[in-house]
Amino acid sequence: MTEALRSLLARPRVLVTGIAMVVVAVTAMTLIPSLTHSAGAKLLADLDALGSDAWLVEPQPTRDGLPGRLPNGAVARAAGLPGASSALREVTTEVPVRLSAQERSDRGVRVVGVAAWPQAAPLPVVSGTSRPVPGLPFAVLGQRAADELGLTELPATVFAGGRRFVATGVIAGDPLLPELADALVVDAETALALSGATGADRLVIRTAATLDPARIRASVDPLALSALAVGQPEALVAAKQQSTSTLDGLAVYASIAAFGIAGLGIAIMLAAAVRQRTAEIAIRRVHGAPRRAIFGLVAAEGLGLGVLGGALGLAVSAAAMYTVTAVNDWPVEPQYSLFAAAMGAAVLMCQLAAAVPAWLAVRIEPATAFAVE
Amino acid sequence: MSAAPGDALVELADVSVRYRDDTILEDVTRTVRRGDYVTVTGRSGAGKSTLLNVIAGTVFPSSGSVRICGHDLGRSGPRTQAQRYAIGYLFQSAHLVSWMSVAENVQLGMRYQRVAAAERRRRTSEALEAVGLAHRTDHRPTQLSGGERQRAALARSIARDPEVILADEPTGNLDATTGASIIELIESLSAGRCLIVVTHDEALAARGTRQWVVGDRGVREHVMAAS
Repeated sequence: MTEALRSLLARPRVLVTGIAMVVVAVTAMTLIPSLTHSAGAKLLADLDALGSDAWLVEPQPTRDGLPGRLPNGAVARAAGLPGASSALREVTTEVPVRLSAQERSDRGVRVVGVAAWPQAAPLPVVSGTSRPVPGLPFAVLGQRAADELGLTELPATVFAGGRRFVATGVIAGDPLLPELADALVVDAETALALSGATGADRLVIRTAATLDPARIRASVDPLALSALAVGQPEALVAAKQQSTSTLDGLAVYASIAAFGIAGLGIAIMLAAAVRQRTAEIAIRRVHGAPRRAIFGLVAAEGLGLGVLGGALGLAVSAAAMYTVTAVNDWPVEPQYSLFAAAMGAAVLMCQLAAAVPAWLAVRIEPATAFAVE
Repeated sequence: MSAAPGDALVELADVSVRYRDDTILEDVTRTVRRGDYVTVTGRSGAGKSTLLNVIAGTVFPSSGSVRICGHDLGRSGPRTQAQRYAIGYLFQSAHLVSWMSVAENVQLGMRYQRVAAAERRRRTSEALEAVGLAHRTDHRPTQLSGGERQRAALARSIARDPEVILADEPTGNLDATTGASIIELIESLSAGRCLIVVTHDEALAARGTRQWVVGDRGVREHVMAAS
C-alpha cells in the first residue's frame, strides 16, 4: 500500500484528479441526501406549523353494518386539541343533486354536509359567496359539481333529496377534502337529516402540533362512546412519502451518475498511467514479479485513491452539511449509514475502475515492451 | 541455485521461435557453462534480442526446450524459480523506476525473490559499493548521469546474485569511454557466473570467450582465442 501511495505521489495529476473525482462522488452520495433530508424535515416542520398536519377521525361501522356516528360535540372538542387550527365534520350522503325536482338523470353530484370550527369561512370560495341567504336552505358547490350541473350564475337553485337549496358560491379545492369538488356542500345537520342512517361521517382536524392518535381519540370522544379510527389522510401521507422518495430518488440518481463518471475517469487515468509505466512494469516482470503482483500493484493504487478520496469526500461532505444547515437554519440530519456506504462504494468503485488498467498491466510482456521502446 | 563450476547454466535444445508466419529462430541448440562469456552479434532484426528473451524466459519458444541451471523453463514452477533467482538482465536503457531512490531500485530486483529486508539492505549496499555508487544511495534516477544509471541497473542485477547475466546492448546509449567502463564493470562482476552480451560493437564482441552470430534463423558459434 505504501508503494502504491508513493507511486501515486509520483504522478500528482493522477493522484489529485483521481481523489477529486472520488470526493465529488462521495459528496454527491452523502451530501445531497443529507441536505434533502434536512431541507425536507424543515419543509415538513414549516408546513406543520402552518397547520397542514391533518388527522382523520372516522367512526367504525355499527354492528348492523351502518355507518358509525361521531359523538355530539366532536368538532368543538377537536378544536380544543393543542395546536388545532381547524376541525371539520363531514357527512357524505348518497342523495343525488339535480337542477329541478322532476329531473331523474344522475349527474354524479352528491350532498356533503360539513360542520366546521372556526365557523368563519372554513371553506374559501372562488366565486359567489359562502354567506347564507336569509330564510332559504343554504349551500355551496364544489367546482366540478358546478361544472357538472352547468351553473353559470350564482345564486342558483338546486334540488337534493326532494329539498330545495340555494347555492350561493363555488368553493376552492382542498387536497385533503377532494370529495368536496363533486359535492353540494350543506351543513352537517342537514346532511344527516337527508341521509338518515346511511351517510358516512368523519372528522378532519388540522393541527400545528405533533399529536398521537390516542390523544386525539381521547379528546374527540372522552367517554369512549364510539369506536373511532384515527389516522392521517392518505393524500397527506402519500404526499409526504412522495416528496421523501422523490428527493431520495434524485439523490440515488445523482450518486450513481457521480460514481459512474468518477469510475470511468479513474479507469481511463489509471490505464493511461499503466501505458506510461510499461517499462517499469516490464522490468518488474523481468525480475520475476508474478502477474498477480502486477495486478495488485495497480489495484492497490485504485484502493489508495478510494480510501483517500473517500475519507476526504466524507470530511468535505460533513463540513458542507453542517455549514449549509447552519446557514439555512435546517435541522442536521446526518445519514451515518450512508456515510459508511459511501466509503464502501468509493473503495469498491475504485477497485472496479482499477480492474481494467490492472488487467492491461498484467498483459504487458517485457519482450514486447522493450521492443516497442 | 546449486550449479557447480563448469556446469551447464543455459541449455537450449532445438529451440524454435515463430511469430505468426515468421520463423525467427529454428532448431537452435547451444549450451553456456559457468565462466563462459558469450557475445551475440548479428544484423538488426536477426533475432539476437529474441534469443536473449528466450533465455530470460520472457519469450516462450514455439518448440524445443530451455533449461536454466538445470530447470526447464517450459514448466511454470521451475521457470518462475529460475527467473526469480538465476537471471540478471541488463538493457540498453537502465529502466530505473523514477520515483524510487537508487537503493530502492536495487532492492526492486530482490523484491520478488522474497529476500529478507535486512539481507536486501546488505546486498544493496554491497552492490552499490561494487559499482561505485555507494554515495548515490538516496538519489533519484533523474539525478544520475547515463553511466551512473546503467551502473545502478547493473547493481540491481548483481544484487540478485544471479547465475546468468544477460545484457542487451548495455552500452548502446553511452559514450565510448563510459561504455567501456561499464563493460569492464559487467565483466568483473560476472566472474564465477556466465555472461551473455548482445552487441553491435565488434570490439566488444571480440572480448567474449565465445561469439554467437545470429542470422538465417540460426546461431553460428565462433570460439575466440583466450585473451
